[in-house]
Amino acid sequence: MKIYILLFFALISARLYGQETLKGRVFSANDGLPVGGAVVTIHNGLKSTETDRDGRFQMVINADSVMLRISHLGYDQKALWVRIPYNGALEVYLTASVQALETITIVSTGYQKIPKERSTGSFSTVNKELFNHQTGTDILSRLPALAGSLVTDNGRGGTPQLMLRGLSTISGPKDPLIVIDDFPYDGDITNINPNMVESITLLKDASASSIWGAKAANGVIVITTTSGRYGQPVGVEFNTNVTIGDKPDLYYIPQISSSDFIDAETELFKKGFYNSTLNAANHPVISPVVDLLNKAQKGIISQEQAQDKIDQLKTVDVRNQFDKYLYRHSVNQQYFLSARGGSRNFSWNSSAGYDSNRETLGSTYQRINLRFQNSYRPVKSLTLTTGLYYTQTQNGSGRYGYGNVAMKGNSFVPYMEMADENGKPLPVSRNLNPNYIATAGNGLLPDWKYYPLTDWEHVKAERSGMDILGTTALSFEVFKGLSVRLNYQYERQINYNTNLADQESFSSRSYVNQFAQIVNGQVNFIVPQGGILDKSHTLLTANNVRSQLNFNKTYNRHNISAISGMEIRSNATTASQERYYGYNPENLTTANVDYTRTYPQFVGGSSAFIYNGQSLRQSATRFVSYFGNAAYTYNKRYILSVSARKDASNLFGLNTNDQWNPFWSAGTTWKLSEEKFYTSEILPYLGMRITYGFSGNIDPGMVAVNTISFLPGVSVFTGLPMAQISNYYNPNLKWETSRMLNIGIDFSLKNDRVTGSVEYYTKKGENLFGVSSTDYSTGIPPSVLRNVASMKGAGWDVELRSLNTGRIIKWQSIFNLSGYKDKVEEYLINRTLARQYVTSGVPISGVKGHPVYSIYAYKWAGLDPATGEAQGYLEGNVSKAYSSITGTGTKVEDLDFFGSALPTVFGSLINSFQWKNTSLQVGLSFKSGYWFRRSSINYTELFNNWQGHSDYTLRWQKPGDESLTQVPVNPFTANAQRDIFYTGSSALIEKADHVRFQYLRLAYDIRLPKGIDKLQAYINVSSLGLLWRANKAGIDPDFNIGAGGSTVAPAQYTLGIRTKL
Amino acid sequence: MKNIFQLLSVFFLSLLSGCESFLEVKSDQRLSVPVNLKDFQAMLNLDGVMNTNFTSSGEVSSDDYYLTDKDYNGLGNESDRRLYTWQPDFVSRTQSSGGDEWYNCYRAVFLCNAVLKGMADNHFTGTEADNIRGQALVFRAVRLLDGAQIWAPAYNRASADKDLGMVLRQDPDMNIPSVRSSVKETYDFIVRDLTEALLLLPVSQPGRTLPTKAVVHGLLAKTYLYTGEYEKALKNAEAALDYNSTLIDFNLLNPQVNYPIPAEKNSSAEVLFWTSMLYVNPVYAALAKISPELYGLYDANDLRKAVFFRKNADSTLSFKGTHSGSPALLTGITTSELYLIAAECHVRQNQLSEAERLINGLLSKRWRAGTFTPVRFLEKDAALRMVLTERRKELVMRGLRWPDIKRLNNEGFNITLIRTVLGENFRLPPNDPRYAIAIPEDVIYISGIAQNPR
Repeated sequence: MKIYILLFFALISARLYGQETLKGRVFSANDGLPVGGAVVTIHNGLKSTETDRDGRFQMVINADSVMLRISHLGYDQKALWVRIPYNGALEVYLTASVQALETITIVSTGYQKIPKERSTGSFSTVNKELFNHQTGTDILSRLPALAGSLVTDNGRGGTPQLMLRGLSTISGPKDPLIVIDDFPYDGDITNINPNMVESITLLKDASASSIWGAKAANGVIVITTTSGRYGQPVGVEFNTNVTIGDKPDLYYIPQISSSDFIDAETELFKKGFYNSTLNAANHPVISPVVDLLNKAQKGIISQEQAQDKIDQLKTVDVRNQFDKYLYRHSVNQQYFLSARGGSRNFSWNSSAGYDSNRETLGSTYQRINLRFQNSYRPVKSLTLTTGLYYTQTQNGSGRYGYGNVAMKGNSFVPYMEMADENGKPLPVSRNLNPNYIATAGNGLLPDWKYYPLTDWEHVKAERSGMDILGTTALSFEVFKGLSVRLNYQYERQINYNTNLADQESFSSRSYVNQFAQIVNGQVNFIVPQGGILDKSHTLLTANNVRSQLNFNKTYNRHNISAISGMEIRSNATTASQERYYGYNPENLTTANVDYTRTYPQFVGGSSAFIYNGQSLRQSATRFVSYFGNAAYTYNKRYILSVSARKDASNLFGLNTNDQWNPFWSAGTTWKLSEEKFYTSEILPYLGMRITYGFSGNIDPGMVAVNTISFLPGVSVFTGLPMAQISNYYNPNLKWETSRMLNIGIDFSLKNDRVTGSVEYYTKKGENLFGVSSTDYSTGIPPSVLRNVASMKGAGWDVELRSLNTGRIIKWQSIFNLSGYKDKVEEYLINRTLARQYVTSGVPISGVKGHPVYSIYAYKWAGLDPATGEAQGYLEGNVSKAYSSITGTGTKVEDLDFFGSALPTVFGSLINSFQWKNTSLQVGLSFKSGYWFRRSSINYTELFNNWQGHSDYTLRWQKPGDESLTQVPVNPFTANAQRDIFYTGSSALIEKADHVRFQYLRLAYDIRLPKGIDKLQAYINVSSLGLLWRANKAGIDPDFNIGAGGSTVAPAQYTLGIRTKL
Repeated sequence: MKNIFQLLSVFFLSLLSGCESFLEVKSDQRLSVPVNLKDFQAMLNLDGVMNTNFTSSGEVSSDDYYLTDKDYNGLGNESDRRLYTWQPDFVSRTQSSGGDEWYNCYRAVFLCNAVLKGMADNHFTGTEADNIRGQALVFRAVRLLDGAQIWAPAYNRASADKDLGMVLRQDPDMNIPSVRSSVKETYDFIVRDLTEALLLLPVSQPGRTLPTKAVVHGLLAKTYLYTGEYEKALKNAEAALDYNSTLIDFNLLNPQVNYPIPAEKNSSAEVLFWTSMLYVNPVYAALAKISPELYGLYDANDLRKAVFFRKNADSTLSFKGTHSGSPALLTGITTSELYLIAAECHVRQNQLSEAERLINGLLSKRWRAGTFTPVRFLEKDAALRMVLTERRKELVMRGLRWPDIKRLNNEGFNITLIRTVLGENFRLPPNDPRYAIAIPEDVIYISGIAQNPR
């Protein structure tokens, strides 16, 4: 940390009393450098002196002991009793005052730490205090509620992802680059304990992030961890909390009602829909109701018996059983202890953390973190820093939740009975006809039934992980202003997974049965009875070496600050996997099976190999990079900066010559308020920044040549190895490039009542990678990425921090507001199918002028008043020709366009209140200006795969209903095209705007006698749900994954204590 | 000071010189740019792509089976219903269903082109290289031959140079636009590929998924049968049978088991070349009910009645006579097909006793021992009808009925297909344009190639 210190000398004329001379030296506790100009006083200010530029002072004292006060602008005043005569030289360390820290924000790029006001780039910072408003096990989930311009994208299907200033379209990992201190973190980010975080910096514009090259395409998040300080007295901090989480609300899932489902099944049964299933040679599963209807029809049971049972089943809602028997409150505990201290040339920081989580389904997670960090400065020009970070994690599986249980494919009937009235497990039939499994094998085979309530007891998945991160840095000052820094980081992460399906588990029993052979009343188990054990292990080793020259020199009004260097990164992963059959945990024995030949399957008779479950993997990524940046400052008010980087990598399929890719940026800052003509008293600080940069995207998967990957096994027919194409030959492939212009204004009002920044940026992306319609005659699958579009985007970020009231109640606000809009400038593919834009995953829009990710839908003509069928348009006329509408009959221009699929305006508002010892923080976030597609009933899925939807009950049933509902009639015939039309129609598009109550934190500082600096008790509540939503369907747009079983994140309640000794 | 700079520059330079080899490490040990022969062979060994997903649209459209109204209603894809009732358009499954037959065909063609280009770029020579090139040529030819039966009209000497054939792609570059060739160009292309492959391929391969000289002869026989060049077809069928003429004696089979024709490594002893058709609705055995007309053609002593067909509880019939030991429906070359090609060609050239010998050789293995009386061919037309009936009876669910109807109607056999679905009658008269099934509308729209005349 750098602290601005005014250097001046004063001649001290003092009369000598001739008793004792006290000699001392004053240092900064933050960086260990001497502090000149500090005022040292004794006897309540009657006598004083100032330190020289080396921090030295001396005083003649005529007393036995004396109270020494040392003060300096920018540091907290320090007072200490000194016994006279004092042995040797006194060393005093001053801590930079909080005030000073707040006004001088230090941003870390991972390559250098610079004061924000001396940079041209765009940064957002989250300090420790703000970061700790929230609690939890991991780091990243806290960020979107805190930082401007960062938003989680949940709208496009798939895993939610963090987006910094819009979404880059690269096909590889889409998350921003995470840097911990100096280097990108290659391991699992959840390994890092959030208590270690000192601050987080978001690098938003090209100038800030270009130093990271291609990897920065999706933005960079730099996490700075706590470290020791020179001359700091030993301090100990302890933080512990326990978080109780609600059970998930299963009734949020739009599950079809049991009564509706059964009515539909009954009708289908009457129509003979299940005949082929009931007669099929491979005995596929039928639902309990179809079984009852079939038995009643055949006279095996009476109609009344069947009807009684069916009436009872209509009252069952499987969610009640999941809620009652399988879900519990989650309990997460967290303990964190850290200690740090330092002398003049040595500083240290150690911490230990322990987390133990038990989730709602009983799955467990334990994490142990240990960290040691030392910094040693034997001579003024040399610093050696070492760090060791050790993480151990342990995951254990829990009970089966909604979505983990299946009877057919991935589904179950909504009236599934897992437990009787007493909670005893009930069997259900999975994948096979219940009557068939009752008799299959005439009692010679293991039970083929499935017990959803207790099967989890027999399937144990465990994962244990270990991660060691070692760092060392050597910094040497060659001469004043020029230093050399060498960094090395080593990481080794090992994960072991075991998955044991024991002999009692359904999967083991079922697999054994499938391969069993019964000959003359004798059973031969080809796959032996016993557990099936899968083990896998992954080893990641990463090495990073960096050498860097730092130059910083001031000549009169000129300051030049520059870095340049090179770095080498290598990252190697090896993985292996194996499977054991007939596993007996008692004596660790396994059985041999023959993988080389096929065996007839018990059901169906077709031949199959025994799955050998073995695979080996090995991959390596390597980078060599050169980088540099320079900033020139004139008169502390004009700054000019440039930055450039070149990367080479072993990315596959490229010649070494093609591997070098240059990135660059340039920027300038003008501090208006430093000018002589600037006299505004309302805005005492005002600065402007402009930057421009160019970067390109690298994705290891995107190469212009054919590449192949070998399959793990060999061909059944030939016994020869097989390879498949992993990348397709495309001589026209180009790099995706992006340019960004950023204009920012920083300001602060008088007395810093309001500080903040307003930024505007434009983005231009060319040759964006995307999936597009392909002429299948080429033999290229539709999933192949090609350069499909160019885009233009623009956005703005406003960050405001205000002190609203400061007297009795201190009320502070942080307000982040961002806007982002983009549009397709050029679409490179001539012809594209409309159907492609009407899917749950939103692809790059093919229409010029529309947002890059847009929500489209088939034009909706309501329901046919006579039949209740869904109607669309074909060539301008109302139509039910679903094949044509969902085929080439609809052009992209014919679709309804709603707007962006990503939030266009979003932000957060955090209010903090402090009254005496009590503080309260409330965090809200909001997203708006975008759309989403909700799920609804898909009849083909309902009939064939038992996937219903609560909309079923709203369906059209008689003429006149069309004015009340948009849900089509149940036609009792399957038709995928009809359902594709309805689920992709305008009837299901909703506005996604909403305001979310992110968190609430209440803390109380308990005043204690000396020895304990701080004891704080706090309560935190998070995931409180929505305060407002635009859609009337009751859907939380961030949790809109359809009928498949996603629930809204349940509320979490935390109670904790934080102490400082 | 100076020393430090020297040290630093040495450090940087040494790093630089190490760069090249440092960056040459493979990013994924399983990944490679195909550069050596083993890589190219491994691409062709991918039997899940190269040997499966041959077209089933023809089988779906033909008359050896039918759907009950209930099963018809239960079909999940509107396109399957349209295909079953011979609609002129929107009869293709979507790409996402995995059942896009056009794509399945050209996916394999792409791999062949990628291999052929790679082989040419690397200037490989020698026996192993010849073998690989030969395989790629055969895989390409067999796909185009398969596709031509679906998307092109039957080969008609008079109009073959004008009728629309397949897209003949010879380069893996996805940016080259597609163009439809004529039927004549398509068959010429196939014959050229196969003829070249004949010189390159060995007589045996490690498995039945890879083509041999015998397979090429078999495919040439099939091709020439479709183009009406019976002399060449005969010559090739006989050449193929010279390598392998094994027939399974159905008397030795147990018709009670699920798949009575025994198979090892998914192939029966009669299989020369293993390829299978897309196995989705409506050709699923549980759905596709064998037509009573076909079943009625078998004599009571014909063992195929029991070996090929399963009687369901509702007395409908399902097919189980696959040559794969599983539900997989074979479309590749078998010895029995070669017997029937040779017999037909003999008849067409009026060599009736030769045809008799072949037919009797086959049927004696299919009838109950001791009950078979050898057939006698006395007159050409009657003999041809008998041979064609035997062909239909033997090659059930092999993707051959559809091309046979097409070529036979082309020479005046006048087969009209009729289906009754939900009380409605559908007819497909001989030589109707719908015998060339609609190319997926998506492909027409994106590529701009011509659709078949509707």
